Amino acid sequence: MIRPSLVVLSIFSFALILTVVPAQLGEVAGQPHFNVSLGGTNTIYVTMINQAPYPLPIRVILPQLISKDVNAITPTLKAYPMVANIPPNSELNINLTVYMPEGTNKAGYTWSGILQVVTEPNTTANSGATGATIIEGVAKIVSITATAHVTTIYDYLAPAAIVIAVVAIAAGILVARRKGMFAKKAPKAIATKGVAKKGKGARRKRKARKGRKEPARARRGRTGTRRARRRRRR
Amino acid sequence: MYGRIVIGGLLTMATLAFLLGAVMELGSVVSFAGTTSNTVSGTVGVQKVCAISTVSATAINFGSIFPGGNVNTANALTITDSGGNAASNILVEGGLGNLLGSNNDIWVGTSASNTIYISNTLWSAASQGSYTGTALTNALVDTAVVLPAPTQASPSKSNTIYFGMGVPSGTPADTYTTNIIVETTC
Repeated sequence: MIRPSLVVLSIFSFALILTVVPAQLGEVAGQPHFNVSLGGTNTIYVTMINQAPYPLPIRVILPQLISKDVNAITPTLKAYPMVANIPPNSELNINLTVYMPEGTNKAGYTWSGILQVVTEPNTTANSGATGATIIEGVAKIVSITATAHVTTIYDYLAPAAIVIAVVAIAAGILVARRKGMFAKKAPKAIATKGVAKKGKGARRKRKARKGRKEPARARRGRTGTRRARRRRRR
Repeated sequence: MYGRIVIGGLLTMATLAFLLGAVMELGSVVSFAGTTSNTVSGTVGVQKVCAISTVSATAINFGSIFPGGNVNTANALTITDSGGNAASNILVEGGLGNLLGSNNDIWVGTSASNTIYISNTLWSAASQGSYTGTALTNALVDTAVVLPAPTQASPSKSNTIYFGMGVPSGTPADTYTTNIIVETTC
């Protein structure tokens, strides 16, 4: 014969089992706020906690970031991991990284959106269930503020490389010129052939220098009187 | 006479040196028992945490509704925090897919072409005797319903949101399903 006290005890135990095993997705309190320099990145993490005695699959849904500022270019927000299984009674850090584009963004511009971490995939409703399937999740209100561009060593590297290249090229050209690598060969050839400079002044100079008369530069065709031509031929 | 004294003294010194060496060697192997005291200070940091659990139901079944009919906004969904220590706000949204696309704000039938807009589902912070409340959307909405902070004396705190459902006239006969996402934030 079964004693009534045992029946009551077993019912109580069953009720206890039913109420003690809830899925508990927890989060460390606090909303993530990013200060990101224009053209820079910033990473922070949010902590999710599985308080259940079994693994808890989670999925991250990224927020749609909204800004009230004019011509604001939305920053890129990435989360890692996007899908995970939190071990029983454990916690998981989800890294959030924001990439802030420069463009028309200005320091002080702000964006906000709701990051969701839900406990199971929700691509489709449960095919076996009728009605609305309840999905648990936690939300984090992400806010982002653009800050002034921070100058780093990398900002100077590219201009410095260009300046160094220009200086090196200029120095190379100077050295080459001094060594006469770019000297024109044509005037030298003319000089070796002994072709005199044109013009009355030049002739006079040469005459004065050598102390003798230099023949006038031959003109094209028949020039001068017949006597002059004969004299020149002699 | 003096020689004996010298030899005896040398022997005594050698014996003492031997004994001293043996004791030092032994001391390096066997630690001598002694009484020491040390104070270790302990610290523990407890973070502010909130948690969510919808133990009351894994689904809300509104039953059979005729086209043009509705169900009162009285279907309770209890949200519990039994693992946290911070108060949290409750947010809700509904629909399929990633819940962000404009085509996902629906209930869908077994025949995919049969749909009902999610806005026909209403929510309310209090149980209603009629089909009244705020229309569910496929964007998270803060219900302004607060889940109080659990305490050591009361480690589990709950609050309830109520749902109702309306079926527009002309809706094809089918069994419809969707998701209702309930989230907390703290």
